Amino acid sequence: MSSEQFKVLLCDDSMLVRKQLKEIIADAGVNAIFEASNGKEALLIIEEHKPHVMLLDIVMPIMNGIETLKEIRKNNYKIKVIMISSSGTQTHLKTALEEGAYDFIQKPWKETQITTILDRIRQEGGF
Amino acid sequence: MFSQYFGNYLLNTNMVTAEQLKDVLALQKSVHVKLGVLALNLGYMNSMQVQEVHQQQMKQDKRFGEIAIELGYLTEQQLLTLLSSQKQGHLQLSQALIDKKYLTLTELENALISYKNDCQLTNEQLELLKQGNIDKIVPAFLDFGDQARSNIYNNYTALLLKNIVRLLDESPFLKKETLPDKYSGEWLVCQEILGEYHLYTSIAADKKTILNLASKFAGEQFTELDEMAKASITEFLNVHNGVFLVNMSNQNIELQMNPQEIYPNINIEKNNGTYIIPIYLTQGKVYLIISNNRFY
Repeated sequence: MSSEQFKVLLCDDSMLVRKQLKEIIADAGVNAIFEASNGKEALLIIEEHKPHVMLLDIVMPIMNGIETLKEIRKNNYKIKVIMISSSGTQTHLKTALEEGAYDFIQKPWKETQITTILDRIRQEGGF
Repeated sequence: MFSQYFGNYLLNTNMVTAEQLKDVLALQKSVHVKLGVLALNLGYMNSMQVQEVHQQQMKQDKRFGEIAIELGYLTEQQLLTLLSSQKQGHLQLSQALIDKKYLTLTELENALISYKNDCQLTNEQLELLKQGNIDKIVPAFLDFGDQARSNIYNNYTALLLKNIVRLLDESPFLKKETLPDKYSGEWLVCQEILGEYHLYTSIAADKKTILNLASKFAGEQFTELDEMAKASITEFLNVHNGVFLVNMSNQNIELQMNPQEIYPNINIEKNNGTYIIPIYLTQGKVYLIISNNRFY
């Protein structure tokens, strides 16, 4: 069992989405939750706080989710990225998985979709 | 769905009052549809024949179907069809109107005929509307001109109507009417779709309606159009457009979209390729504005 605190980063330009995801993740017992409203902000948080998991939207201003995912791979950050987007097109799915996304959730989500994946990652990582 | 379309028609043509419509819409879910209304609805019997069977039922202990067959008004096959479709939701409004005595059978029959004529619906289109087939019914209400544009705009509009039901728990409907040439309003929520089709999509409404829809989408009551309420209404359009992109992707048409935006106090003049479509809700209305040219 890891003694390190399990940390999650939420990256979505919608304040409402971040609030709703934060509630779900906090209810699942995660205390360390970080927020970013675009990819650029997210990369700074990853660099500084090294979260274990990231929920990443695709359509965002400044730096979108696919660009962010590519930067994460380029910098070899050890973070599991769950894409959570309304735009689950074949192109986005394919690109996200090719770029190393751990999973893909299409909006609107069901709470259990998120908690199930988080539980799996926590078990895998010994958190 | 038919209840919203036909109910609104009855209200606009002063065949029922707003109170009566509200009353029957609330009642319809618990109403058991009787065979007479069904037979009338499917055109198997006219109102005189239904009344005759009802008269006979007062005199003899027989079921509606038995008497109708004896009188030669129905065949056995037609009776079987009626029995199997007795649970169809679209008839509940008609039955509730009769039960409450807001309309007689004859008035209901005439109202259905005039609704069909006024909306210039074919028998097939009326049937599709009754079945709740929104994909096929949108083209009966809206004319988007050329075929290529029609296909995509019809799909987009039908999906929006369905998502308003799914995501906002509202009962939207279209009216057969001349579309407005311009729109001036309080708020515009918009999102650009790019790729093989370049679309500018938006929903526009007054503050009260936007607040209501934002509250329904977020599942919390907003009283002011603050940042969270704006995030909610813009996210609704984003999720709707996302589903549209997935639908298109399933047809091997790959599209993308830009982040959603929201603007206050907007004036839009219709230009070629821009459509301003009123969508009526239980309270208020929202406009779908769709174009292949940027209009905001």
